[in-house]
Amino acid sequence: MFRRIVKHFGPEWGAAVMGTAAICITMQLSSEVARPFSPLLYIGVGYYLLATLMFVVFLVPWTLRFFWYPEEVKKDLAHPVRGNFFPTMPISFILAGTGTNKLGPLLFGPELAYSLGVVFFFVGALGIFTFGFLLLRSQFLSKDIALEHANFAWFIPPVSHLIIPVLGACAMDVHWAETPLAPVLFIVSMIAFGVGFFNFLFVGAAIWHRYIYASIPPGQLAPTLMVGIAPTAIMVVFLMKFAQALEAAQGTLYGIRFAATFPMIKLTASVLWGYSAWWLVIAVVLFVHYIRHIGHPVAFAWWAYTFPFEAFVVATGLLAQVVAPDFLHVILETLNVAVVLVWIVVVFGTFRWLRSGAYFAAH
Amino acid sequence: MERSRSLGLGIVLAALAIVLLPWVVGLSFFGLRNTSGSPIASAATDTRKQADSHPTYQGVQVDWTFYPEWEFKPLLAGPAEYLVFMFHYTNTSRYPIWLMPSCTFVAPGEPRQAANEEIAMYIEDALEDRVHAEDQTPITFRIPAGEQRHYLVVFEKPPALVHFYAEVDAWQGRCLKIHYRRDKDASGNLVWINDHNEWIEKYLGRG
Repeated sequence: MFRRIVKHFGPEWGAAVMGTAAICITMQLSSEVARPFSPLLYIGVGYYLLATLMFVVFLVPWTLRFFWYPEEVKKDLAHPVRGNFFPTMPISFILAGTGTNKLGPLLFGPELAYSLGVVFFFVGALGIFTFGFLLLRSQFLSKDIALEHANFAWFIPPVSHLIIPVLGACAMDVHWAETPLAPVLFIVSMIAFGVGFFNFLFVGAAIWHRYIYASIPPGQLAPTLMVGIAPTAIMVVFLMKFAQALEAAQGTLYGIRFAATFPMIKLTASVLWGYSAWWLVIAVVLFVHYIRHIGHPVAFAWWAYTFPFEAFVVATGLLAQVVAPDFLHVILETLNVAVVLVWIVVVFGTFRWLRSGAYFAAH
Repeated sequence: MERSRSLGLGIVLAALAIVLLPWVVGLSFFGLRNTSGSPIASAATDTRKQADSHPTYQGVQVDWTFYPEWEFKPLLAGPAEYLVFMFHYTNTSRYPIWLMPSCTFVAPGEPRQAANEEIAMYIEDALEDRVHAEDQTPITFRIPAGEQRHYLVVFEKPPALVHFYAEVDAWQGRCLKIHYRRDKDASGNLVWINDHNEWIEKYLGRG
């Protein structure tokens, strides 16, 4: 039975870890708004521990599949939709590192937490870059990809590169600032940001082309629409964390001064957040269209609703620390409730999907 | 039919367990948290040798409350001491301002370190109760004319620390250096003394 589970353990299961892990940060940010919300910090610890458990449990079959069923892995890598989910597990490494960086000191002290965060950074970055090269090679060389295959799941490889500098900036803040590791974290993060940013632009154009000139994806892929909110939201998160890293570095990071760059960071982050907020509305509009006219079956793809939405809430919480705090704090607290409700629905939906036997069905 | 119903119930219970787990664990930790720091270790000191202990520049006056031995215990590890400052910024000008303070810790033989915002987040409530002041969590915050706002800064405390300074960077072109050293007071007790404060101008560069 275990071997059967491993055989069918697709690359998308990392999305469940992502969708659970990011809630620990939305909870942490929400806890800082006002004193009555303080317990949310500890609820965030609960989500962090659950996400860590899921991460460890899922990593086993995910890894074994590469050795026991390499042909299945190759098939999935070449698949124009499924292949894009491979980076979700290395992304989970990065999110594990981010959660450890933020909440780890509360559990086991700063020294261990910040050191673990760096380990997760390098392992996650290696996985993301590896899958990024593999998937792009597969896309460029495949003769079987048609216009109708374009979908917002294609954003996952670029988004995965954008998440690397988020943890890089967290690591550069405080503990590793002004150490020899800081420039290494900086360079790796900047390379990853460049890759993610430009891929986001180019891949986004390809997906828009499909959405405009061909029919929109079937109901099973409806949740991938929410992924469109993630790239700009993650860029906001990175910019805010990078500002804090520059503050900690006190000008020692290649002479980049916090006070000189912070105004532009605030403006850019506000613009990017605006795009994500706008995309959230678009996603809701099309979600309603799917419900009414196309269909929205229970599918594992529902996890695509969780992490991107949570990334937007995290971006909201961080941006609220520098602009329009009164307005953004209300949005933060409201959406924090929404992400938990969405997560609960998706958890129940996943169990229903598992019960239907779809896990073992051919894709 | 019976088997199908029991399977369905099992699925619901499993999903419910997953959904409730973070809340049960989280609220349990919330109940077990350390709320006040060790009472003895959290004593503030305000021993200042210099007359001008309320430096003012560009309409921003700064004062502070210093806890040299604030003890914080992680949930699953042993306690450690931290240096805790609660800065009190007063806008003495006629117009509102946006402040963006930054603070660094420097001690001989130790790497320079920035403020630890994670530990600050964990002890914020306890410190606010002790100081009776609300911490401004954001990176930048507004101070209306004539009003005061408070900002929490926490540093990891190196072992065997006897002398350090904190660099408060909140003004354009100038920083305030707050010097502290450990010495005996008149009664022979070891205390932390704010030795002296000085304004410095740092090289800014163009980057």
